[in-house]
Parts: sequence; structure tokens; C-alpha cells
Amino acid sequence: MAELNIAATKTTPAVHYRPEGPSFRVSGTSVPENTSAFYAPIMAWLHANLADLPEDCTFEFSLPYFNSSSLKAIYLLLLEVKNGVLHGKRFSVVWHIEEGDEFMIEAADTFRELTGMAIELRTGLLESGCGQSAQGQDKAA
Amino acid sequence: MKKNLLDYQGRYGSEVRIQLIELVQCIALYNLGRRSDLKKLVSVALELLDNAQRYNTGSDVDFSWHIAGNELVVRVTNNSTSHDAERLVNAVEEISRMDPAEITEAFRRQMLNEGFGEKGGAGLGMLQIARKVGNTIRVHVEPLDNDVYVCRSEVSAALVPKSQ
Repeated sequence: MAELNIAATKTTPAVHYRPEGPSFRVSGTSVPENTSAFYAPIMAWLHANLADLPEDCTFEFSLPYFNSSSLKAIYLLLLEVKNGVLHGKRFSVVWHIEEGDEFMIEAADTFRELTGMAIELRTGLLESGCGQSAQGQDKAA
Repeated sequence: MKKNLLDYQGRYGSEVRIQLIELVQCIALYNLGRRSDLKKLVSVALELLDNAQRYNTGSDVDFSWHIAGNELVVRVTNNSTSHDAERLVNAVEEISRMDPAEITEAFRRQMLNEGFGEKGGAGLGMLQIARKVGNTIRVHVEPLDNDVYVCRSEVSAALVPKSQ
């Protein structure tokens, strides 16, 4: 299976597939200028390797901020994941959020509604440009 | 009380866009505090700045993020072609006639349409804003010269009391 190892930039998330785990992980801010151009090779990798992924692979998304076109790109990724499930895989999806974050909770709800898939919410602090400051703000409050 | 938080006028490109987004994230956190709708408010700036970069025909942008009373007002002005200016006006006028259920349904339809635009966008930005902070988008366009229009988009978001 071809490796998938894309490093994060200021506008695009890191995307990795790790055989140990096994997990497919998207993490970081996703605000590319051309969302289609960034996600197309990731979609192609997933489509080409879906059948070879371990049946218990976890798809994890940890995105502190993303734009609406990234929302659509992630939805298209999840449709591929669902395709694997429909072919007998036991894939799971984990959506990382910060506690009480309405924006991210509603995004997960949107994905559940549109794909019909179970999406586990996992709460914790996400790294963003203001992540450390957020901790400081907590202490100051 | 009018509280100006950020006002930028100048050159615009990918690097400035991401720096403005990161600055807005921090400004929002420090001036509004931790609240459950914080990312919804930041997403208004994010979507308007996205559109400004995607359709800008000039090299500059005028961006402001300020609090007026109990409202957050985000305003972006950039140049565009007459075609894109017309599309913007039509899209916002269409959204302004929708009730919340119709906005949700329009958003759903646009999500299910698998295509992206030729500039890599998904046509969801204004619908997303209307879903997240209310149907308060205003646009004003005026011709500058030849095929160039000045487009100003403004969104007012009610600052409800902190729920977190």
C-alpha cells in the first residue's frame, strides 16, 4: 500500500495513514485557498487503498478551524469511508472537539445526517494558532 | 459603546489571509472570552476572507472586525469581476428571502452536490454564515472601471450572553 504522509502547513492539515493503530488521521487547520486541489489526491489515495485498509481502521479528524469548502471535502472523504463500511469493513470515525464547541458539534451532526454513519465525539484541547493562549485565558478567568 | 478590535487595509494574499484568521481567533478569545459560539463568530471572518481571496481581482483588501453594542460586525471589501459581483449579489439576495429551514435545506443540497467550483470553493460560505449566526448578510457592489467592481460584504452577528 502506498504511504500517505502529508505535513501540515499554515492553511492545510496534516494527513497520515498509520498501519499501527491502524488509523487515518487528519489534523490541523483546514483553510486552503483551493480546497478541491488539496483534497483531491487524498481522496484518490483513499479510493485506491480502501479495500486494502485493515477492517478495524479508525478515521480521526482533529481540526481546530476549517472553512465551509473543507466541510464539503471531509464529507466526501466520509462517503468513501462509508463505502468501505458498506463492503464489510468495521471502520470507525472519531471527531475531536473542544468541550462545548457548538460549531464542531454541529459539524459532526451534519456528517451524521448526510452519511448515516456513527461518529464518536472525543473532547479535548485542540492545537490551533491560539491554543496556548486559550489555556492562559482559562487560568486568567 | 463601539469597540474596534481589528481594522486592516492593505495588500492581500494567502499569507495575510492566514495571519488575519489567526489574529481574529486570538482577538475573539481575549475580547469575548471562552464561549460555545466562539468558532461560529470566527467562521464569519474566515468565510468572508476566503471569498475575498478567491474572487479578488485586485491586490488589496479592506477588512474589519468590531463590536457595536451587542453585535459583532465583520466587513470585507475587495474588487471582483462584474460576473462574480453579480453572483455575490444574487446569492445573498436569494439567502435573504429564505427562512432558517430553507437555508438548512439549501445548505444540504449544496453539500450533496459533489462538485467544487473552478476556483476550488464549494459555494457554501454565505449559506454557512446564515446558518451559524443568522440571516444578516448585506452586500453592496459598485462599478470601479471596465469590468471591475468593488464588493463590500457585511455580516452582523448578535452577541448572545455567554453560554459557557
